[in-house]
Amino acid sequence: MMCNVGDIIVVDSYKDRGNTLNKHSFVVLYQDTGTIQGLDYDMICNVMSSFKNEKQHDIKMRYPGNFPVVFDDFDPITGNKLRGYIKVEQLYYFKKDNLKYMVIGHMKPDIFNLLIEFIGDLNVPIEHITDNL
Amino acid sequence: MDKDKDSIKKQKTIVHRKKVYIVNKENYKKLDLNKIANKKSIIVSTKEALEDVTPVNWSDIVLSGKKKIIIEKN
Repeated sequence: MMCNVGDIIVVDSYKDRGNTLNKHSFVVLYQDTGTIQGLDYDMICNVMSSFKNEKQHDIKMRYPGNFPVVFDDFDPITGNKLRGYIKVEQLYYFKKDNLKYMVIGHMKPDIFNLLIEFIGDLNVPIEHITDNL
Repeated sequence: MDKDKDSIKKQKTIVHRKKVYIVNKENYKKLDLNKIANKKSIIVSTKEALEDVTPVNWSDIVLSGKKKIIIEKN
């Protein structure tokens, strides 16, 4: 399946890596080929997380690497508008051929570009997740 | 002069975490891997990275593909 920079994807499965990635949502940051630690990739993503409760929201928003977002969707259980955050300091490297996913939407350019600027400004260590290559 | 006006029209000023950003609101900016390469980096496993991530509980209408999520700056 095709996807573009700025798309939001939900992972269905990833080759033979069990269920670790399943049902997690990501925003596609980068779509060119590259190499990291000698391994080829063709996509880089950030993961999206929701909040368990209001208390967790306050704790998570204190961390500089968390980028808050509001989704135009509603929690099927509570009926509340869905909120979450993007873990900007984590970069997930993928090979699209190994990934089964669904595109469920996208970020508009203005907020995507803000995210990109935010990554550039981060003063926390970048976590590279490369074990999916 | 007109070129500058066009550039300005495509830009948007956003305040995020007390910092002012001027971003292009029409085109997607490319991730600067050189900038990232100059930052302090660590390698982390997927399992460890996702430990405190709570999957977003999308509604059925989104997961069925009938509705698309659009994230925009309020």
